[in-house]
Amino acid sequence: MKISIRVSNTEQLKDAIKLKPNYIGIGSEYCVYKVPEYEVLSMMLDQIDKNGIKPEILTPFVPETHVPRIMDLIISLNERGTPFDLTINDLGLLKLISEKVGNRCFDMYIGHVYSTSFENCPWHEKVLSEESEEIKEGWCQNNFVNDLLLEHMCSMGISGVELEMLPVMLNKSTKYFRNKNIKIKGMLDYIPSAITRACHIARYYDKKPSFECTSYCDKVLNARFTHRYIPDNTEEPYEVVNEELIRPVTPDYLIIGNAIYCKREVDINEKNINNVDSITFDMRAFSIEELEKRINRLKEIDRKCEGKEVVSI
Amino acid sequence: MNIMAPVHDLKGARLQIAAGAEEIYLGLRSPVETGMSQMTFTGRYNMSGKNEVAQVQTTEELAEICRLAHDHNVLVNYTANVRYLNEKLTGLYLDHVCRGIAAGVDTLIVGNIGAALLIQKEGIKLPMHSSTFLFGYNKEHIKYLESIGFTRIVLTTQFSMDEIRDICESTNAEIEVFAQFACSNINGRCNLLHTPYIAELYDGYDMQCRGLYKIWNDHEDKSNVPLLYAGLDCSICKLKELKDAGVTVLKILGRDRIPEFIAPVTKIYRMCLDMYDKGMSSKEIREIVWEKAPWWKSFCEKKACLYGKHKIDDSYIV
Repeated sequence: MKISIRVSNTEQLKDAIKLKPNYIGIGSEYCVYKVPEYEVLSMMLDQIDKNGIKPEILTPFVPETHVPRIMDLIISLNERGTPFDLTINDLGLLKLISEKVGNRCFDMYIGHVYSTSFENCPWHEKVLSEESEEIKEGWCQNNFVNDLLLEHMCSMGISGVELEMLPVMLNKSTKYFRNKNIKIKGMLDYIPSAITRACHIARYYDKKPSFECTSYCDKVLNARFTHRYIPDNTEEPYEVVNEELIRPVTPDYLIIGNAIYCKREVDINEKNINNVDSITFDMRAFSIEELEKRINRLKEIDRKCEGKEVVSI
Repeated sequence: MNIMAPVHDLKGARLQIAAGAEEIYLGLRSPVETGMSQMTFTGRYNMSGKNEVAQVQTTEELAEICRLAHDHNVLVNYTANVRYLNEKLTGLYLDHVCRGIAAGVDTLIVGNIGAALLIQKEGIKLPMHSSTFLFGYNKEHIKYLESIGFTRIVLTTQFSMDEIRDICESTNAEIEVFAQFACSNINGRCNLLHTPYIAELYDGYDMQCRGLYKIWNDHEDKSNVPLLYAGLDCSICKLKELKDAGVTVLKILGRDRIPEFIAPVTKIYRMCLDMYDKGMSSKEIREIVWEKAPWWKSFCEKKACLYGKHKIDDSYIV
């Protein structure tokens, strides 16, 4: 089991390197502006290479105007020749890469935009409460637990999936991927619950999404639902929610740019750790101390796993 | 440009056809013996957030709706629309598709690549339309969907008119867009779902993206912020531009609304399209709409215009 840390800027990169993870991730699953331009990215990669860490490059859904830039970036990284993992969250981009980029020095993973399940819904247990056990399991398994789909994706060059470390996902879906020799990266604690093209953070800070606004996404904004919207009442369209009823069901949200996350701590045990190839942390979601503590805890559990590699920290 | 209207029962089908829909779309509840209660293979729950039925409840009623629609030359689009289709669900999913075909539906609305591959593997020849669950924001994505057999592609609401025009020019597939009530998040990747359970708690008003939030971090602490509100509600002033851009289908949202509420919306959009065809301006049309449906004015007051210039558009990642 290996550790991956996702960083959002060069400062976070320095901190991440100190924690000596196996991978460092740069880029974004959700916003194209968080994928740095090649010059910046190249400098960051030099730092990562120097420390013997493997880079992961994350690409989001890509609006039309950015397709050439992202493609050029991937081609340049491929020409650079240092192996890396590439996370894809756009089927158009995947198709282009599969057709245009040969002799790849990177492994491609399907990212969280496509790799998901109903377990990501904060109130999925309530919604599924009246369904049969078979249906519950079916809806909570990963979307790529599907022979036809997986073969199709593999034919386009996919060799791994990213998934959230949630109970059904870990207990059921990972076995399937293991049997198919698909590599698995697990995201711990922070569960992406919704994404949008209309960036919530850009709107809040009155910015147009661009390379200039990316620093607003270097930290999390917490959000608690307090007033429901009553569309029929044009005079007073908002009403305070009933805390007692709502709070047990609706978690506080963590907003990073155009993505809405929920925090769900999953009991991490030896079995869970062995179900994935690496565990990913997003640096924006933790203080350094918290992250170090979390990684040390994983290290302890991992050491108990007989015959397994000890996390390199 | 066709209008495609939502239906969940025979009465709704009659009202929508009378309102001027050239196409209808609908889902079918899965039989109880499948173990499914609220879940369906239709992209919606069996009941809506307001505890209204959202699906046609029996295959017999579906067949009757198909006969009625075909008698009026109206196309029946069947939602075989799932985000998650893993090995455990494929058999049940295929049964769902076959029930629709047996009842006489004309096309399948599909929201999952695995489902599309399965439909083709099974030799099902009905045209496949991609749902918004298969969202994407570039032409390569559209080409990819076309390459795996989709003949119609629905765009999410978060597109500019220029992008829609560009996509229409680049593809042989039909392009469908939403007429009203756009989501704040990407429909195919939002799990803050309006559900019967949540609606019960919220007394039916369960759209969390349109509510107010207390927000905080190390530097901020504010209350009553409409942080997640990015939905837009109306496109009547843009219908001519959409048609000229090459959009072939305008989708009216509201499968889970009572027919008496949603059919008048279809009627307004039909009326607007007809008035554009007669050469009337959007200003003239808007005024007639306000006269016929005074409540429509609230969209204009909020400037909740889809595909136009709105502050929300400035937050789009382009």
